[in-house]
Amino acid sequence: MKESVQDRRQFLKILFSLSVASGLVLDAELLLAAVKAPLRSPGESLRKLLLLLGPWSVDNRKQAEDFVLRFLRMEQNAGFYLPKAAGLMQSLARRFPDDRIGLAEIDLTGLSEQERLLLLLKLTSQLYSFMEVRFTIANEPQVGECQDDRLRYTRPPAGGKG
Amino acid sequence: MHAEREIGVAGNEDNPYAARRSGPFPMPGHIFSYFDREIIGPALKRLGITGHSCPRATNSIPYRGRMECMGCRICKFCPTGARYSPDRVHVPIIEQSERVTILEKTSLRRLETDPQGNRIVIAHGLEVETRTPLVVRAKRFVLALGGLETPRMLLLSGHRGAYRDGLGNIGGQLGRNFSDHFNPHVTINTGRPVGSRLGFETLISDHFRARTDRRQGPAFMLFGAPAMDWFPIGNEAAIWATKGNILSLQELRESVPQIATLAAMTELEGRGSLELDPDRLDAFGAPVAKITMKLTDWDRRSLEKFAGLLPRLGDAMGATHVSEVSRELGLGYHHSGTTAMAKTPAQGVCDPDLKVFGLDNLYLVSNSVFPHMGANPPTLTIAALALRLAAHLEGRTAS
Repeated sequence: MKESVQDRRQFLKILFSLSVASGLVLDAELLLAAVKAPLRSPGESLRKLLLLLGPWSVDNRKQAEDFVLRFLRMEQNAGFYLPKAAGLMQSLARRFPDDRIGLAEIDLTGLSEQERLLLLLKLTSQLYSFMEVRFTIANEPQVGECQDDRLRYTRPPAGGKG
Repeated sequence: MHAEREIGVAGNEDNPYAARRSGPFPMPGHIFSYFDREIIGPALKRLGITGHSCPRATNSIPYRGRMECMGCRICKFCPTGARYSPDRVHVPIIEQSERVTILEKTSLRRLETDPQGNRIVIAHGLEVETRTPLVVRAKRFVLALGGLETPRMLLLSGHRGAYRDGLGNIGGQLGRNFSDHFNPHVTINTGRPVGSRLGFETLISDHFRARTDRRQGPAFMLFGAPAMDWFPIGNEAAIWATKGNILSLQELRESVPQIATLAAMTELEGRGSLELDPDRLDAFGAPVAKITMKLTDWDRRSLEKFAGLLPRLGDAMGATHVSEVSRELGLGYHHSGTTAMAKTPAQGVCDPDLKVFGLDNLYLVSNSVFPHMGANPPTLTIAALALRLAAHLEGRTAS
């Protein structure tokens, strides 16, 4: 059953009350941050991660969204990353606004070893091994687009290019 | 030459390591890419290694009704027909022939011999969708199922007597000496833009094919390209962009246009094997092929030699980073061996005319007939063997 933000806030209020009553000390700031951090499904978390990591900007956001959509549809990606994405995203969620894409850098401090491995050696390396991503960085015609004339292509370019 | 004309090969006669050709290439070679001309070519030259054009089955000019390469870099599924593909070139010719009947959506299941075991009398198959059995009777049979399925079919067709362990396995050679090409590779940050990726290499070097004392180690061919798609570079690029706890995505992005991959195509001794897998079955209930690869000390020497070359090559390129040789050695999809051509059954499975030992009318066309595979792609040789067999079956001399 999908947990709503209201349910979570109510639960945390109860937990906080119980902690005070029992004498347990809980970090109020942590609790507050947990309340404020947006809920994300694993798919949304992975989507957000890819938008943060990739060579994206406001100018090519449509292309970014199209690429991420296709990435998530690949069974080998969905099956491998989705179980892990939500946890990693929660670690990073507090740092960046929802609409942020194309980060300049990520501070790996505070990430677990498994999260560092997933982010660094798996997801980032795979992302930047895609020809499509590399061509985006190099501002080259995408795969299937004629090098001399971007209006000639084998697949309609995303984001209105060409 | 005939195979080159049939397939359509573009190349230049600029290879100082090659034997003298008996005629020109059907098409001129592709012009060198920026990377080949400005980055890797000069670096190799500084080390006394000559880079030369890479003959390719991709049109450089219009050829036999197919257009030249457009450089759209979707080579594996060439949309223009510039790259040779049997379905675009030879299948249409076959379809128009009155002498040929194509049975689509069928699966060959086994070959049946006469009671004496002297010849094949029936090819048993199945219609894939309906599972309806079908049989084909012919005077002669040619197996051209590729490097894995050709030996597998001979194994599946084994039944009794001399063929208990597979057709042609009189001397116990069926399934032996499986080989492939290893493609060790490294990722290099050249420190400067390497140019756009054409989609295929235009420059290679046969220096280590021709100048290697093969008593000491295997030969190999060198090639490279800007961040080749089948050799992922993201792992190294991400690591190089990480300093302490900071992953600089900006630095990563700036480095990608400067990154190239250098690879070798190395021969192996061929100590692997192919057999039927008792634990895994295909969709029709027959055992699939099971491959066991074995690397020898001789095989590993090419990796050592390649690794030893890299620091000098990186310096010659002015590289800022050179990765270690990838542990994923990248089998090259060039499986060979297991139904070797030989003079006697004790040495192979088929004779020099590709006729399977012990059978009067079964022939093989596949890289599985290679007794050994050198450090070069096998496709042209397979095509040449097919043309040679066709001439032999027609009683004429191959051109």
